[in-house]
Amino acid sequence: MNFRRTVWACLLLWMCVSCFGHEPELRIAANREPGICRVAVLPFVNQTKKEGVGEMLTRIVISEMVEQGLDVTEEGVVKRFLERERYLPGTYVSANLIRKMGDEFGVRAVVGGVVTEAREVGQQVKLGFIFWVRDTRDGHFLWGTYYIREGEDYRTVLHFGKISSMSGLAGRMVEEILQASMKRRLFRCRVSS
Amino acid sequence: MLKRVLNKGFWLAILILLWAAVARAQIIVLPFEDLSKGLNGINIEIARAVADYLSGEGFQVIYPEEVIPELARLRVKSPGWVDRVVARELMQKFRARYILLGTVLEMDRQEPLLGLSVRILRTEDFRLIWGGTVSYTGKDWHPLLGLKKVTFQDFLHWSCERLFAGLKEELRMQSMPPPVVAVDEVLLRPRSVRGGERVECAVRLRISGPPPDKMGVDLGKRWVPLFKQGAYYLAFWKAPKDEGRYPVNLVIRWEKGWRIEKRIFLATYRVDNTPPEIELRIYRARQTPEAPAFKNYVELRPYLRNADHISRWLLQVFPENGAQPVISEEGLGKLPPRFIWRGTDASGHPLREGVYRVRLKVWDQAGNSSWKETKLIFVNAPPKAEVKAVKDGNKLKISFRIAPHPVPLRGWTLEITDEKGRIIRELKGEDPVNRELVLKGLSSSLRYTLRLRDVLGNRVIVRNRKIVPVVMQAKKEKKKPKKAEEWVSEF
Repeated sequence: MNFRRTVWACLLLWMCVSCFGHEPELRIAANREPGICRVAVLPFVNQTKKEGVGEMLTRIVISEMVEQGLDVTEEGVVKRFLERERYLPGTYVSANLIRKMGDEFGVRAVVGGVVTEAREVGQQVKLGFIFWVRDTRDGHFLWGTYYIREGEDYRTVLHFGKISSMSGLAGRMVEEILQASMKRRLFRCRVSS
Repeated sequence: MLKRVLNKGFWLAILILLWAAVARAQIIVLPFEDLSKGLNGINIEIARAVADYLSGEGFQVIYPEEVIPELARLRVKSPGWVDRVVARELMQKFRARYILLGTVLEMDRQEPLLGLSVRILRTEDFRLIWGGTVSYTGKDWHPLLGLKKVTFQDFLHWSCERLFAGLKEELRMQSMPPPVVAVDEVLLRPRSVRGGERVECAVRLRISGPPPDKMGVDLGKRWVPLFKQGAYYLAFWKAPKDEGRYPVNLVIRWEKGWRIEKRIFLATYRVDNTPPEIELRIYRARQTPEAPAFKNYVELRPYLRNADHISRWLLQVFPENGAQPVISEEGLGKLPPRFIWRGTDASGHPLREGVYRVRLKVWDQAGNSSWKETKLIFVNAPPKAEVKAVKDGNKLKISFRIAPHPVPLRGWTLEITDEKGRIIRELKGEDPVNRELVLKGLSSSLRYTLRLRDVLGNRVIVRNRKIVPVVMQAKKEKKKPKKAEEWVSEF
């Protein structure tokens, strides 16, 4: 009887840990101002061998941000701006460039990132990327996170919950980052009457 | 008649056109960028399927095939994104309000696998108004007992359903002006509260637009939902334990449609757990070793050591060993700058001399209370002095007594003069005294002058008063009556 109870307790605990163990750890600057609503997204830099992961993540980030109600500058405008400024993709984004983006698009922050890991072997997928947000007034980093996850991490009971596609995993990770930022009011759109 | 009908018809047509513009928004569906085919991949099939779905939902759709010649004319390399020039050209060409941009993130018809990301751009202000990402894979599809097989077409249909759920309402709402909120009245009580006590907030609002999805008050770290009761929206919560000033903001959210949040500052309240620190300074009184003493009146000035808001005060005067106050006076609001006590009771009758306890109790707005008590000596009469003389033969004993007094004496002088006004004896002192002088061989018509004063200024001056001695006489022995020595004849 006691053995059964112990097994059930362990199972319950494992389920709880599986269900609630995913939240990105955000590194937030001390002098950050909450409630950023208007942002521009720079193309994510792909440092992996898997082609198209940077573009995939960029699109997912833009779509998820729009879905969360943020005012996001269209990617085409950002790309045209980067071409005009002769910015080489993958190089460091200078504070001056960030400031110019703020002036031109009227945004408070610029979002960008680097994909550091993207693996897909059979049903196992793994994705790791850096996500950062910079202030357009001075180019300083406002907050950021390095988030790495496997599809297996989302498994709850038996085979349920597991994510086996790269786009599914990326979508879930971006959603978690945005939700964590919304919870801390780092991103927030509000209209005061 | 015909004119009237035509006029009516014209306005009806205008109304129908306006309704059509709102209800059947025109959306340009661009060919999708296909990342599964490489960085320059294009997918028209999926884009067409999406266009079909939207058309089935009642939107007026420009299909990707119709747009391709225009994209070629504008030299658009990648249909995954557009700039302002392209967006405006497309808007002018197709008279469309929206452009749908899509990306096939992953695709495999055999597995099946489909990852889609879409966003909708409003052409008039070049703003992204809709976005979404979905991903389905057969690897994660686990039907019950493995009975149902899922196909790529299923994924495509589900993706469309998920990506565009609520789009119609969103576009309809966006064609209307956003809701407006006006706060008519805010009641927040108490404004100052002790930690853990209940705070109540009532707000009277006017909302123009659809009812909000969420309404509540944002307390910094907490969110308390508002509920409607009569004309007011109410919220209750317990004040935090930590002292400080806390803002109360009204937050109203519309999750659908405009996706806006209105945040209106309502008021602040203060958590105060510290009782007011009060000091009672005494003026118009003389400091004595025992306590401050006064003769006519005393002035008590209360001072608050910490910046606190007093809501109520109570001043009581007790006898030294009594529990029943002789004066009790209270008030609401700020403390008066001074209290003046003239040594009387509540009816204005003078009290007896003695020691009294004055207690001032105060309450701050949060209900914290504290009190301060001080002793006061009330003396409005000079000390009692007594000069007596007793004459015993040629001796004159003069006894001089000053009774104990509640406050110290400043000094006293006693001069004894003879009938010609010459000073025979002079005594001085500063304390109560009980002395006896013996004068010999003096006439009995002596006079004295007494000057006596305490530290409060109560004084006695007796000038040239005659000393009337009590004459002592020796007791005469009472002689016993002699018995009759003579015999009385019997009869």
